[in-house]
Amino acid sequence: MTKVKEKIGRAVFAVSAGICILAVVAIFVFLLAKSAPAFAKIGVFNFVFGDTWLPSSSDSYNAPLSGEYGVFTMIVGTLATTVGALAFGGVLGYFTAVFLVFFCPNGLKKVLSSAIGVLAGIPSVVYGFFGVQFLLPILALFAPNNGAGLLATSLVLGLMILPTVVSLSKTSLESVPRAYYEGAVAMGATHTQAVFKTVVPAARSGIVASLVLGVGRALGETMAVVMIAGNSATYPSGLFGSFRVLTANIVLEMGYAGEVQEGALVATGVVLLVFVLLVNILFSLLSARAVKRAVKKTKNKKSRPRVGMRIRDFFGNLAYRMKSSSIGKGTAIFSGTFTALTLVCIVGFVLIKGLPHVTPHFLFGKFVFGSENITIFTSIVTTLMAIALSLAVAVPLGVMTAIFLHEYTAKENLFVRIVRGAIDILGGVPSIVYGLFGLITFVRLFGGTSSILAGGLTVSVMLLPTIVRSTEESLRAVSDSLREGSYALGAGKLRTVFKIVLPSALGGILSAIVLAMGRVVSESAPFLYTAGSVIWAMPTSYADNGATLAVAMYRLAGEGWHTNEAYATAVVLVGIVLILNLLAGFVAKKLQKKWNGEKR
Amino acid sequence: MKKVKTKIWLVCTAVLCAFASCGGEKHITVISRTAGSGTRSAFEELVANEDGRKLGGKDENGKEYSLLVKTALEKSETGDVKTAVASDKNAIGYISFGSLDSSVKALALNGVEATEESVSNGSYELQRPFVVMTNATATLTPRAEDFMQYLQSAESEAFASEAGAVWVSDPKTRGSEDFPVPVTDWTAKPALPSAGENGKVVINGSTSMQKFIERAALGYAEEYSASVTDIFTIELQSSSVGRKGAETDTTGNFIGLSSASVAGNEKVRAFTVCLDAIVVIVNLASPLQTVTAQQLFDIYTGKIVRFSELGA
Repeated sequence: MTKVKEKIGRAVFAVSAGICILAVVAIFVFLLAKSAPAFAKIGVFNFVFGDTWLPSSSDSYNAPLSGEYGVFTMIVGTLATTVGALAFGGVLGYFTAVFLVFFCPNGLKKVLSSAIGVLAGIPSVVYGFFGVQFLLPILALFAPNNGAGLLATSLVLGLMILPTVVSLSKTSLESVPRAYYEGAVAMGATHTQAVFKTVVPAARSGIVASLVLGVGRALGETMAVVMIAGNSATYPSGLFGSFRVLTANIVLEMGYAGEVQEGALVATGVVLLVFVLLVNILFSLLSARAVKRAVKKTKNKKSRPRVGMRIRDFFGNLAYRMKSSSIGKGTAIFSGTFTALTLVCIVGFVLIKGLPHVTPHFLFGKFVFGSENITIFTSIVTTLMAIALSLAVAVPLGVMTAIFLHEYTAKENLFVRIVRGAIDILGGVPSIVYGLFGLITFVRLFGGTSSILAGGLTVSVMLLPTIVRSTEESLRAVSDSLREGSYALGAGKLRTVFKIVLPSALGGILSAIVLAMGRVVSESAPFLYTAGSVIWAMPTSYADNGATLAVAMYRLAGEGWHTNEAYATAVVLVGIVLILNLLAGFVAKKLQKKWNGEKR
Repeated sequence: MKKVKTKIWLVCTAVLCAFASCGGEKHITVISRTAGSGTRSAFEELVANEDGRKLGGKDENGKEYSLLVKTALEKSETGDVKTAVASDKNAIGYISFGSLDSSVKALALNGVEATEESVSNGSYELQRPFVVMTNATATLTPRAEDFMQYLQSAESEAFASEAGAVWVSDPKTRGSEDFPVPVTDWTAKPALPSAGENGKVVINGSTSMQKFIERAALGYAEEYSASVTDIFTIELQSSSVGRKGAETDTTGNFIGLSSASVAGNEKVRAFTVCLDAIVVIVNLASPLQTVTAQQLFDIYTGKIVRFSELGA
C-alpha cells in the first residue's frame, strides 16, 4: 500500500516536472507555427536583414505582399540600447556592489541592499513613466529633439538592470575567501588595494556573469523602452533620435496587425527569443566555467589568458587599469550614493506627484462608463483575480517540480537535465514573448477575445521558473540530518517530504510566493493582449476582460488626459511593491525562526 | 598621469562642443502614428505635395510606401501624440478633431480652420468618414440590429457633435450613389432586445471613434435604463481590427468601427455616420497659426526641419 502511494507520489512530481518541459515545447511550437508562414512569405534573410519596416494591414498570405517587413533596424536598436544600458547600469552596478561589500557602513548596507531589492520590483511602466515625465524634459534641455532616443533608453534600462548586476556581483564578491583579503593586507596592501587588486579579480567571473544576465534583461525589456525610445522604425542615430527596438515593435503594432503583419510580429518575437537564448547560454557557460576555474585554481596556479578571459579582465581590473585604486574607491562610493539617490528620486517623484491624487474615490469608486472621474477599483480586482489564478496554477506545479528535482533525483539523468534546461529557458523568455504566446494559445482557445483567464494562465507559465528555483533553493537549505532522522524513525519518502522537508522550507517558499505576487502586479507586457487593455466594468467572472493595475497605468499614461491618475496609479503600484518586499523578508524570517525555535 | 589628464580634458571639451553645437533653434519634432493606425493612413492619403504625390499609401503597383521622415516619433495612441506635443515647444502632430482639447493648439490648413461648416462643405480638406459596419451576410441579433437602427437615426446627431465630428444627413454620403442610407426613425422597444447567446454586443474598431461610440452607447443605455457595461463589450483597438472583425463575424453580434472608408468592401454592410477632421496640432507656445498642405508635406518628409523655414 505504502509502496503504491510512494510510486503515485513520485509519478505526480515527475508529471509536473514534465509540464515544465511541455511549456517550453509549446512556446517554441506555437511561436514557430505562427511565424513560419510569415518567414516563408517574406523570406528569412529579408526579414532579418531588411531595413525597411512598412507593414500593410491588408496583406494576406495568398496575395502578393504590398508592405515591407524587415527588422534589421530594430535588431540594431535593441543591441545599441543594450550596450548603452550595460555601459551605464553595468558599470554603476559593479561599483555599487563593490561599495556595498567593502566600503559601506554596516547600518547603511542593510538599508541599501533592501532598497535595491525594491528597485528590482518597480514595474517597468513606472520606470517608463518616470523617463517620460522626469528624464526626457531634462534631456530636452540640451538635446536637439524632445530628448527621446538612445541616451534616454540607455539610462532608464541601465537603472533597470542595476539590481540584477548588483545582487549577483555582490554574491560573488562575498564568496571570495576572506583569506585573499587578509593575505593582501598582511603583505602591506591598504584596504582599497586589497579590494581592487585581490578580491575583485578573484570574483571577476561572477561579476561578468552578472553583467551577462543584465544584458538578457535589457534585451527583453519592453514597456519602459516603448515609452521613451520614440519608436520610428529606423537606425538609432547618435544619442538622440527616435528609434525602435524589437520588443516595442510587438507592443506597438499587435493591436492593429493584419494577417501577414501579425505573423511578422510573432517572427519578431522569435528573433528576440533567439537573442535572449544565446545570451542565456553564454551566461550558463560563464557560470559553469566560473565554478570550474575556482576548482582549478587550487590545483594549478597559472592558466593561459584567453580572449574571453581578457574581456573579463577588462571589467575585473577596471580600477587597476586606472593605475590607482583610490579612483576605484571614489567611484565605488560615488556609485553607491548615486544608486541610493536615484531610488529616492524615483520613489519621491512618484509620491510627490501622485499622492495628492490618491483619493478614496480613485481607489474604491464605482466604475461609471464614459466618466472622466477615473477609478481603478476594477483594475485592483482584476489584478487580484489574475494573482489568484496564476498562483493557483504555478505554485503547486512549481513546488512539485522543485520537489522532484531536489528530493527524487539523486543523480543527474537525462530527464532531469532536460527539466533543468527547460526551467532555465523559461526563466530567460522575455515577458512580451509570454504575451505573444498567450495571445496565440490561450486567447484563441477561449474564443478569441481577451479574458482574465487567458491572462492569468499566461502569467502562470511565466512564474514557473521563479517558483521552481526559489523552492529548490529553500529545499537545499534544509539540513540532510532532518531527512535522515525521519527515515530512521520509519517514515517513507512522501511523509518525509510533506511532514519534515516542506515545513522546514516553508519560509523560503512563502517568500518566493510573495515575490511572485509582486511580479504579477508589476508585469504589463504579458497582460496587454491577453487579459485586456481597457479599464472596464467590474469583472464578474474569469471570462471577462479587464486591465490589471500596470496595464491601466500604461493606458492612463498614454492617453495623455489622465496624467494625474497615472501618477496616482504609480503610487499604488510602488506601494504594493514596497509592502510585498517587506512582507517577503518578514515571512521568511518569522517562519524560519519559528521552525528553528520549535525544533531546537 | 599627465597624459591621462590631458586625455580627460580633451574628451570633456569634445563633449561640451558637441552639446554647444546643438544650440540655436531646435529641430521640429515630427510626430506620427504607428503603421496600421486609421488616422495615419487617412493623414498620409490626404497630405500631398503640389505635384499630387501623397505622403504614403499604395503606389501604382499596389506597393505600400511611406515618405515619412526617418526621425519622426511614432505613437500608438492619439493621447500619446497630444502628450508629446503638449510637452514640446517644437513638436507637430496630428489628431482627430474630436480628441482636440486645450492642451494643444490646432493649426488652420491652407488658411481654413477646422469647423463644423468647413468640414461639411469640404473646404477643410483633411477629413475622413467615421464608418459603422456589421457583417454583410450574418443575421444580426435583435440588439445589434436595434443599436444599428439607433445609430442610423437622427439620435446620433447629438453624439457626433459631442464627439467633435460632423453628422451626415445626406443619404448618398452616408451610403453610396447606388446604396443610399437614409436617416431612419427610431423608437425604444418595450424592452431591451436580446443579444443572443453572447449576452452582449461586441464593439471594436477605431480608437478615434471612442468619444462618439461612448456617447452613443450611453444614450442607448439610458433609453432602456440599463448600464452600458451590461449591454456592450467595447474594446477599441484600430480600424483594421474593426473591419476584420465585421468581415469574419458569424454571430451577428459584432459591430465594427472604422475611421477610414470601406467603400467597395462587399463583406460588410456599412454606413458613414459622421465626418471627422484631422487637425494638425502644435504646442501652445508655438507662434505658428496656419500651415499649407505643401509645408505639411515638407515637414513630414523631412525637407523642412526648423519652424523658422516656414517663414512664419
